[in-house]
Amino acid sequence: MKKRKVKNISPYVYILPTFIILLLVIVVPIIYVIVQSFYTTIADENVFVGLRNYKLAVKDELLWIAIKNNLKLFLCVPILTVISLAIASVLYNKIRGWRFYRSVIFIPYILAIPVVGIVFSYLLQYNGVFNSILRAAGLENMALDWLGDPKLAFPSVAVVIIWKQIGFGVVLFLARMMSIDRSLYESADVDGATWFQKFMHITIPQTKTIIEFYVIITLIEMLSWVFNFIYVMTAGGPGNKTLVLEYLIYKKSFGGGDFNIAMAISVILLILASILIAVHQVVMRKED
Amino acid sequence: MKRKRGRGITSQVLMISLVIVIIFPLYFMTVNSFKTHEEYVNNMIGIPKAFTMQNYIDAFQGKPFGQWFLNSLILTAAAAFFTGIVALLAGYAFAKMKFRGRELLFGMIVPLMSVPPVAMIIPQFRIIKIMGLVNTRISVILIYVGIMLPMTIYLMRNFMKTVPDSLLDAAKIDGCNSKKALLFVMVPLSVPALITSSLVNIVWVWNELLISLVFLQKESLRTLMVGITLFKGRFTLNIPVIMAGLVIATVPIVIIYIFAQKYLVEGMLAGSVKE
Repeated sequence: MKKRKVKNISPYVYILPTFIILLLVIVVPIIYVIVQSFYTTIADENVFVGLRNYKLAVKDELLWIAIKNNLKLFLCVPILTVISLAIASVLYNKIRGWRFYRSVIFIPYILAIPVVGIVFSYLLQYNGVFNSILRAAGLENMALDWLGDPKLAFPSVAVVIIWKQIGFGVVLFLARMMSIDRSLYESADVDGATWFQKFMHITIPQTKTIIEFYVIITLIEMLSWVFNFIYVMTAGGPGNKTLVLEYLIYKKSFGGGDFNIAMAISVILLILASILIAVHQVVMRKED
Repeated sequence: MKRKRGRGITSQVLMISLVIVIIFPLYFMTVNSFKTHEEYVNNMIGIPKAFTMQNYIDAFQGKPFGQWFLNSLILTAAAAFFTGIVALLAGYAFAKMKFRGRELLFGMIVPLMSVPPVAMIIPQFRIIKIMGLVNTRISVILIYVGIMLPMTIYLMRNFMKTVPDSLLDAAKIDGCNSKKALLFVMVPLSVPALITSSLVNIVWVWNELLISLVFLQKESLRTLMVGITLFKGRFTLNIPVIMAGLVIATVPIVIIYIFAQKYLVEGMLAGSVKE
């Protein structure tokens, strides 16, 4: 009798450490952020203020600038998808050295963002390497302050993000393409299909589910995992041109000490992230 | 035939240009770490005329670079180790044991892998304060383990599901209870999955910036990533020393990539996409 009881409990014993840690590190913090976003601290006391923090956050144009910049970063997703697919389909033809190319293209993805960010900030400086190459090529008036100019900072950061992330998509799509039935291409060849026709009518439909995954994962990344790039390269500047939600939360809490407003903005970020996470889960289930 | 060859050349030209774009920043970083500052100013792109190791010596002597390296090493090893153990236990329960709420609980863990870490920092800080762990390695290890667990459990569970039940049943007939079956049957079989997920975790912790930046304010506890980010501000005038720092921070990851590319890439793909 006793033995049976022990047997019934044991699965929960195995998952207990996980639940304690996840509760402490993720679940309680999320609940805390949601609750505290309706409170404020006045003279060391926690006072319920309803939607005040949200009203203050929404009135602040920085929130809208940050949201707009995150949405602009979403534009990297179609660019990344198309370039990755194109590179993967070139490698799929098993051109000479394709394994080497695949290995090299993946390297930026494993590098640390601080390292990448610092290297690029030296490359893109006004007196940096990129401009010296342009000057040497006689393009003096193309030599610009890539990270310091308000018009250029955002596209420059986006290019660095694309440089860093491109390898993941290439390897992901290539792995999927390798499992496509070769005979599909062979019969298309018999029908005299062009490379583009084969790409549109075989490659794309056969990789469709993986493309869906990729798009959602990358959208989540552009919303929730770009803090490091911004922190290292631009600190949100110049003139908030590269400010994103993550950096705004960081700045409000550790720069300004507006913890409760920062938590209201965190809830907004969490809501946006939940929408994408929910879509991700739906796509995952659909696969089953 | 001719057309095909033409396309082959176009592909090669495209790929070689891409390789140059990918490699150039790394080349720039490495090559300049062996130059004097004077040479860097006059020769940013070429290979060093007077090869010097002085920047590496400066990086280790002038600043607590060795300490930062050690700190990163400790955090990475500890966080990856504990994540592996905790995920092994949970993965086993989710893959091979029947209990009420199994699917529901697992379904709740998976989406946690995409929660933005920034949104949880303030409460995490307050919890750590209540626990009396401010400015300790344990606090950061705990948070790392929490952030890595959902993905690691997901990988372990999916892998363990592929282990045939008959192996476990055979062990049970031989008198193993679930603990022994895990230890003597499941753990040895799960080594590849454990290596794969641990490599992904090691790379992630080694490269992590935000959490160590916020939670380890004490100079002696700083990690390499926080260190080089600060380093940039302090040594702005001596760029080759900064480059030497970046190289030191990158070498361990590149070594892992060279020797365990297959496992690492596999893990990174499997973590985000369902098999």
